[in-house]
Amino acid sequence: MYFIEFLHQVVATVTPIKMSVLFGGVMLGIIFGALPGLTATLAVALLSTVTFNLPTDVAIIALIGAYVGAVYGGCQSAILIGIPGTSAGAASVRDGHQLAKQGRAGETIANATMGSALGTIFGLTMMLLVMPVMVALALQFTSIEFFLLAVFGVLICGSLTSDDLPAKGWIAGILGLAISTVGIETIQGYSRFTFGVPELAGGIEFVPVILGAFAIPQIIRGLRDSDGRLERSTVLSKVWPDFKFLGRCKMLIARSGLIGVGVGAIPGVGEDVAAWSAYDATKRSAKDPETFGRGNMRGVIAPEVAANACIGGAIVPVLTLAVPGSPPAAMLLGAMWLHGLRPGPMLAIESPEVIPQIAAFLFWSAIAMAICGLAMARLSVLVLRLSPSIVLPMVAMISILGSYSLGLNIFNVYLMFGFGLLAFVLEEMEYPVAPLVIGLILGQMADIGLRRALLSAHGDVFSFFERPLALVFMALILYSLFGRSRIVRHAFGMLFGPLRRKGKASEV
Amino acid sequence: MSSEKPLRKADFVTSIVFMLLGIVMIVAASRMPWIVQSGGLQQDWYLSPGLFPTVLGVLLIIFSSNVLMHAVRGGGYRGLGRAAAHGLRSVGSNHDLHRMAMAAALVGLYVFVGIGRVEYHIASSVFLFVTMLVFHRAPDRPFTVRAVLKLALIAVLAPLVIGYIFTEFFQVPMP
Repeated sequence: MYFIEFLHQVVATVTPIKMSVLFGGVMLGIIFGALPGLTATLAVALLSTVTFNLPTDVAIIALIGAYVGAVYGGCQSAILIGIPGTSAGAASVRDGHQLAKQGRAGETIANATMGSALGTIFGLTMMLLVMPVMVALALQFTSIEFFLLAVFGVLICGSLTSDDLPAKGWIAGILGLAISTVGIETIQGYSRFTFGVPELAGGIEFVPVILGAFAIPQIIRGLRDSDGRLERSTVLSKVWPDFKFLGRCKMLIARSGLIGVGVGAIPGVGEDVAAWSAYDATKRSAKDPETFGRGNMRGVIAPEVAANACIGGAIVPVLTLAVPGSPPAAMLLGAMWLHGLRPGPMLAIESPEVIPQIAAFLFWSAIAMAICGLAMARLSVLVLRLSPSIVLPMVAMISILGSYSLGLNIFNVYLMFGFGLLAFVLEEMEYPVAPLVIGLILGQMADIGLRRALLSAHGDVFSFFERPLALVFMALILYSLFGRSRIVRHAFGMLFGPLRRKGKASEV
Repeated sequence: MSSEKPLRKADFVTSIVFMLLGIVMIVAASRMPWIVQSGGLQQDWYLSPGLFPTVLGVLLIIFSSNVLMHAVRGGGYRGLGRAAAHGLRSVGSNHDLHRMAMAAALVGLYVFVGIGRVEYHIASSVFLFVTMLVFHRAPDRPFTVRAVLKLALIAVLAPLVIGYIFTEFFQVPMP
C-alpha cells in the first residue's frame, strides 16, 4: 500500500537542502554514537531543540539521520577501543575488538557498517509491510485501549530495562507518569501539582527532561571517570566490506533483522536489547559457538543488523499509536509533536504522506550512514583520541543551550538540570531512566484515556472486559507484572511442557 | 552478594521515600475536586482531575512495597546507621564522590549563576575553561603551560563557534 508512495518520496527527498541536512545529521549521529557516554537519545534530543525553527520535513530528516547514525556509531568505538559508544554497540565489543586486535579493524568496521545499513533497510521494509495492518488495528482503539496500552508500555519497558528488580523499572515509569500530571489538565482545566509556579501551568516540557535525563548523568559520570588513561584505538587497515562474506550471511541478516524489528516494536525497549538478543540467537544457532567472543565476524554483524533494524520497528508504534518503541524514538515522537504533527491512528488519514516520507528518510539515512561510516572510520580514530574532560563540558554547554532554545525559556534549563540530577541519583540506585521517559511521554494518553473510557462506560469498570482488544492488553499487563514469577513460570511449564516434550519426541 | 548488600540498603531507604511520595500523591489528589457542577450538570468521580494521580499513588505504594520486601529479605535494614556513619566518615577520602560533586557543582553554577545572568560568551568560556582544567589531570595528560593554553583557546573558541551556529543557522538567540 505504501510502497509506491515510498518510491515517490525516495525521489522527492533528493534535494540539496535535505541531502546536506541528512548527511550532517548522520555525521553528527556517528560522532555522538562513537563517543563513549553520548547516546542516540541525546543526539536526537539535542538536534530536536536546534531544528525547532526549521521546516518540519527538514527537521525530521535531520533527526532520523542522527538517530540512524548514532545507533550505528557505537560500533566504531566498540571495535576500535573495545568500549561501546552506545549501549547498542555493547554486543559488538566482544568479537569486534578481538577482530581489531587481530589486525582486521578496517574490514570489521566496514562489515559492521554494511550490516547496519542492511539492518536499517530491513527495518524500513518491515515497517512499510506492517504499517497498513497496524493502522487498521489502531483505528479500532478506543480510550480504554489507549489507557491500557500506555500502562502496558510503561510496565514492559520497566520490566525489560531494569537490571535489578523489575519493580524498580515500574516505579521509574510511574514517576514519569506522575511528572506528566503536572500542569493544567485538559478535561476540567484544573491546575495539578503546580505549587503556584506559573511556568509549571503549561505542564513539564518533555524535551528538557529527556535532555537532562540522558545528558547530565553521562556528563557527571564521564567527568568522574576522566582521570583514567585514554584507550589507544587500533590502527586501521583497508576499510572495505567483504561482500562475499555478507552474501553468505543472508539468513543471519534476515533473522537478526526480524529480531530487531520485533524488539523495536515493544514500547520503550531499545536497540541494546535487540543487539544482545540477535547476538545470543546467532551464537546459539552457530556451528562454532566456541569461537564467539574470540573474533567471529558473525558476532559483529548480527547485533549491528538487529540494532539498526530496531529503528524501523520502534517507529511503527510511534507513527500508528503515538507510543515510542525506544528512548530515541520517544524523542522523535516529541519532536514530531513540537512540529505540529499528530502521530497516532489518524496520522495515516490526516497526513498520508508522512509514513512513506519517514521510510524514505530512513532509506537515505541508511545510504548516508554507509557512505559516512566507511569514510569517517579514520576520523573516528581521531575523535576517539579526544579526552572526555574536553568533550563533556562542551556537551553540557550544548545541552543547556538546547534546552534554552525551546521557547527561549531559562526555566527549561533549570528543569533540565533538576531532572538530570534526579536521573543520575535514580541510575546510581539502579532505577532505569527509560521507563521514566516513556511514562512522561505516555502520561497524558493514559490520564485522558482512563477518564474518557470511564465516562463512556458511565463509570462501569466491568464493561471494559467486554472488549477483546482491552482483554488482550490486560493479559499483556498481567504478563509484564507476573511473567517472571515462579508460579506463572510453573503454570506455563505445566501448560506447554507436554507440547514441548511431544515436539522433541517427534524430532527424535 | 557483597555488592548486593549496599544496594539493598539503598533500596530500603528509596522504597520508603517512594511509598511516602505515593501517600503524598493520594492526599494531594484527594483535595482535588471529585464531584463538580459544570454547565448545570453534575460530573462524576471518574472525570475528576484527582483520579489518575490517585491511581499512580496507589501503584507507587504497591511497587515500592515490592522493592521494600526484597530489601528486607536481603538484609537491607540491618546496620543502616553504621553504614551511614561509615559513608559520612569516608566522604573526605572518596575521590570519585569529589569528582562527581565537582562536576555537578560546576554545571549547576553554569546553569544558575552563569546562563541568563552573565553574558553568554563570558559565562560559557569561564565554565568550559574551569571544567576542562579541573578534570584535565590524568596519567597520560601532563599539566603543562602548553596544555593550559590549549584549553584556554578551546574555551574561548567553542562558545563563539557554537553561538554562531545557533544564531545564524538555527535562528536561536543566545541567552
